[in-house]
Amino acid sequence: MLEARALDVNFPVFQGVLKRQVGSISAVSNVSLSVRRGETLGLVGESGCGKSTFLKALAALVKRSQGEVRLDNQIIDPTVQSDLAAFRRSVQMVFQDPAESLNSRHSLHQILTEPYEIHGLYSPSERIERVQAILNSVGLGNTSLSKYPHEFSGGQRQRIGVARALTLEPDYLLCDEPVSALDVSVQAQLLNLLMELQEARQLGLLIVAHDLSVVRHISHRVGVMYLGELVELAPTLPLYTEPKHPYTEALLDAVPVPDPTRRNRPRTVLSGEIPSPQNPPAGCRFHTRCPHAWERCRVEKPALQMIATDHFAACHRNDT
Amino acid sequence: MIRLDPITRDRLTRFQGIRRGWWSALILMALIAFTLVAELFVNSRALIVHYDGEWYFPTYGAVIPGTTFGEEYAYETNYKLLQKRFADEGSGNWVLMPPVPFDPYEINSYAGEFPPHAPNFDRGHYLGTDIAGRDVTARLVYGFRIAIWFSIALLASTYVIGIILGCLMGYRGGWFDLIVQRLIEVWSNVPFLYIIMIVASIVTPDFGMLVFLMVIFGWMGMTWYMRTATYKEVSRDYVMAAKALGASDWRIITTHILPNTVSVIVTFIPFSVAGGITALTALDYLGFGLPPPTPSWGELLKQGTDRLDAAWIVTSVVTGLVLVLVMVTFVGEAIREAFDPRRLTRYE
Repeated sequence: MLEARALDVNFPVFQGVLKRQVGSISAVSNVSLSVRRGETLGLVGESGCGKSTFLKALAALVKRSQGEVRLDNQIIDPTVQSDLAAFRRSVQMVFQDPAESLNSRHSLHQILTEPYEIHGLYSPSERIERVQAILNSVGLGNTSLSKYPHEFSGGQRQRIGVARALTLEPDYLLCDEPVSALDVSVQAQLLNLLMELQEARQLGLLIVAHDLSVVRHISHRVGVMYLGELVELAPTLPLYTEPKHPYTEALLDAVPVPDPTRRNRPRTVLSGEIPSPQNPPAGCRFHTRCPHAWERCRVEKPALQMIATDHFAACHRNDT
Repeated sequence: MIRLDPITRDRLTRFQGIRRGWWSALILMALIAFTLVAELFVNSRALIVHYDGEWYFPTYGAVIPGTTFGEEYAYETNYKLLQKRFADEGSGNWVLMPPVPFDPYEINSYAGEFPPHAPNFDRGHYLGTDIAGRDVTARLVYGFRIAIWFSIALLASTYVIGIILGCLMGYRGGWFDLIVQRLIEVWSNVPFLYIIMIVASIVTPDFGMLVFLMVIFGWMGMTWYMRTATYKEVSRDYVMAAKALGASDWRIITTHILPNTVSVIVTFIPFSVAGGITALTALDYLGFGLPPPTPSWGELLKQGTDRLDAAWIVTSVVTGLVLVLVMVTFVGEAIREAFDPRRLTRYE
């Protein structure tokens, strides 16, 4: 199990000639999540809500300010080299834009054998064998290893990104908007590929996305983030049918429904901008935009509570 | 055979397509290679001496005293006189001189004339002599050799410092970056010319000393550019991806960041070369450069501007200077054009 406990990420804000710290941006605040092997957890929220930052903090790519990450109940200390190396082999990442995340000066061979080089695994011929096998499993079987990223299409490139993440045979794959840079027609193929790979390798998938239908399609559980906080976490069906947090309701209502007879359905429409994470609102962070907010929400921060089986939400409305 | 990545290959093809720059680069390269063997073409030592059935190759190696060839003196053989003697004797001995049979230090005097001597093909002074009677061709060639290698040494040292420091600043950021930035700003304000004047008045700067001084006061430029380039690359996802795989900082810098910042480095090289040549020429012109009688374009330029009546001096050196600088600029322009990122961007 890959677990984040009370994870905080704060980015300092510097100003002036001497670059003194004048404040900090609370990008991720007190987020606890866990992914089991073979499970897909979707993480949604509007842009700037800290979902990507959370993912990167979990992958030890962004320094976390507080909280801990546990892998199979072992606390991972990113300052200990041996810990980190083992963690990297077990937890890998897939990035949003494959054109950006593949070094355009490296051939496929260099890109895919680099992980082995870094960790000093296998002989050169074994490496190539393994790379070929992995390329097969992502549907790029007959590809020449001497090609360069720009010779591939967007979807193929993302497959290469997935293949690279798989080279070290990780148990968990963290995907940062894995399909949002791709054509809609290719998105489904890649999602199906991820699901196939999960089946075959018992991967634990943590997928960050802003496309709710994508998340619904592949996730077993879904977490919703708002302004750096986890506001709701539930199995997919209950979350989509009976959301317990007004923000989740609003998000779901924003999804277009291809049904003209429901054109006039009642919808929760959010007004206003997302507040600055440098100066988050007191109490519930959502109260400035919440249609149901009352006095208590402005003062007291709601805790993430279990409302039904495996269904957690952080809203005072659920107390009454 | 080194395998080039497609971006580099693209750029090289494009560079070769810009004919002006490509030809300038070839000519400059040939000139630089030529300076390495300049002794074979411009020298007061003979190329081959055939004397009493023996072969001598005096160009490289120890001094051969005149007595070896039956002369009465024990100092270095004067091959031009020897050639004349052998020709007079008609004994089957002969001397083959280089195309320009003068070295840059040799003072040539001709009866009834005062230097500077005008160009004279019979004597072998194709571009005449300077005010001390030294051959202008020889001084131009050896002056170029010193200037170009001075530039190359300067460039190599400043780039090594600039790349290492700039990369570290961009990669580490934070306090290290801040402190080095301020240091550079302060250091950039030290008046370089005054320092050189002070140093030159205390000691006579030699080649190494001058390069050292110029590096000490000139390493900052490349550092800035590398810092910016590194900052730009570090924030890109492929660096993040390499980190996620567990790559070390060293690995990220050497295999990911440096190859992607190479365009910054390469684009600046021609301009640094031009800068180095002009800097040395200027210093020599002012008299703060390499001490006389070192052959130098700056010193020749000074003589030429002082003695405009001996127009061959100023004409030769200005032509040489302009040709070299124009060619370097052509190369720079072509590289900039070939490396222009706008032409490589693919929209999808």
